[in-house]
Amino acid sequence: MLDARDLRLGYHGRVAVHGVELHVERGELVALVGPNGSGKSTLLKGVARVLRPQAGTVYLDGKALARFGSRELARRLALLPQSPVAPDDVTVADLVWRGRYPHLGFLGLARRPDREAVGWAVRATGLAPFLDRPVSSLSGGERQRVWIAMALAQQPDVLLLDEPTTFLDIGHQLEVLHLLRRLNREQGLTTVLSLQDLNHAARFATRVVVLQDGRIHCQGPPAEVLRPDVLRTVFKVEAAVVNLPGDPAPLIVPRRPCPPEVERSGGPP
Amino acid sequence: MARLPWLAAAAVLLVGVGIAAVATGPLLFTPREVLRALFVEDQGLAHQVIWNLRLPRVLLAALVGANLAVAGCLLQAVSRNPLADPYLFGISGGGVLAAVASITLVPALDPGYRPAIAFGGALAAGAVTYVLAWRGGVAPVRLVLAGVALTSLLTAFTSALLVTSTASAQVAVSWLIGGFLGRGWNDLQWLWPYAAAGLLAALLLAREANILVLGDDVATSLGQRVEPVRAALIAVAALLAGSAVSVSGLIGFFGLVVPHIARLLAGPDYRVQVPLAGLLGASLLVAGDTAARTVLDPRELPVGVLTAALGVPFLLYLVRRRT
Repeated sequence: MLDARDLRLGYHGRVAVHGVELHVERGELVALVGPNGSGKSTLLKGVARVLRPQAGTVYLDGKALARFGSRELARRLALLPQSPVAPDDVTVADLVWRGRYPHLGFLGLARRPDREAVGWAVRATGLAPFLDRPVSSLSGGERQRVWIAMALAQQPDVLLLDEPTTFLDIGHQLEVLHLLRRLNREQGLTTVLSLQDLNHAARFATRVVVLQDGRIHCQGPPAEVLRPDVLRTVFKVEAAVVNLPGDPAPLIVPRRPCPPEVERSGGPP
Repeated sequence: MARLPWLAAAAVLLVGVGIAAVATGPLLFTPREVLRALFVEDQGLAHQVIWNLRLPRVLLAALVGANLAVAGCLLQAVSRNPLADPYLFGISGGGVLAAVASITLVPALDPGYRPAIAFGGALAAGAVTYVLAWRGGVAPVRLVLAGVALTSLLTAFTSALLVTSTASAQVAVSWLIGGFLGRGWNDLQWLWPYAAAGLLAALLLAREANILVLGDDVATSLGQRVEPVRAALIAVAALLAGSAVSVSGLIGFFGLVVPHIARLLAGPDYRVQVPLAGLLGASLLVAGDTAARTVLDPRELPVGVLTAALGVPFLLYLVRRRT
């Protein structure tokens, strides 16, 4: 449903993503992984049209993103950037309601479908007890759930998230990822997210895309992609990959950084 | 929502302050005399004093107060900076420089042109700030830095003109320390179309401001076209602040503090904050101007001095109470 073809992205003349082909099917939960600076955030922004491509095209259900109106696109596709900041004193209800922006008319009057969408987003994220609380008074995990609820209130077909677990403790990381998996499975919400933790990618994603230097190094089901040789080439770590009995997700155990490549000096061939 | 009562209370406050303001002065009137003079009589002392002298001045102060407060709201939203106000964006400085330049360099010019000249200077300075900040889009940080830089330059030019001019320095200084001495129906006729258009546009843009303050990436992802919205907010703020400066001169602090008071009272939703700041700004400047012309009667205090003396402690109180 989401097709990036030969997508080149960058800032001020610098290229960060080189000719990437990315195809996402309806109902997938795709994890983008890769070292810092490999182009994960840039690719997400490009796919969401927050960043205009230098070359190439992204299609949503066969229609080029450039041909969507800005609000029309926002009703189909939502991007949650990394660590968004809520204005001081904004309440949970207020922020979630702002997700309805692309659905409201010129005067911004709310109708029944809007109330239903917000109610659903609040229930799906378990935020009902917090509605009148300022977002700034919540814990990191709760706050991330508020932003996800705002994106859900958009009622998108595709949800893109840039490192939604960064700065969260392990419990809140799992809470957010479980929420995303539940939305993916129960609502069929197509999801693409970037992750730092490879074990999270292995456990929650239906497909893992490994990026290196702005190109896709390899992609596929977690168990096929997250192999010791890939970790060595892309992340420069020596790692063991363990399969626990009764657990389908491979467990990655990074052990040490790869030794820096020895320079070949002149010598006998 | 529990915030609408604030708007109703602020509207009632404005009407009350307005009536008290036209009743107050060297001649004191009762509220009943005020209402009679406004709506029943068409001659007599009370009618003369209230209709010809006090009412236009009160209405002017109300519009200027509302303009400055709402302009401050919009600029704080655009720059995502709580310290933003028309002064910081060069808008006020441009208006004052244009007025002072017209007084010192072309003293023969009819004073009736000064509001238009000040207005032009304010809009031009706002546009220059925007252009200076443009680099494939205006990032909020660049906008603030460009405004600060331009304001310093404009202030320097204004000082240079004041120091080197001989004749009409006194008149020129009255633009630096704003007030409403000698203002009347003419000024009101000049101001109200701009104020009405700007305030209406600000109300319509409040919803866009709510989205813009979430950050460019979130706003874009929500379907907002960020750059046109930002340009529109700045243009409306320049219209409001520029037209205000053109009749009152520089009334500092107002565009900065009143939005904060509105936000502390009613929260961060601009759909409430913008109208509330407008109503509060109007009430506060009317009250301030009334005090300015009566406290030291027959002399006048500059209203900017009074508003700062009253408003800053109030803001500090609100800030400290919250934490």
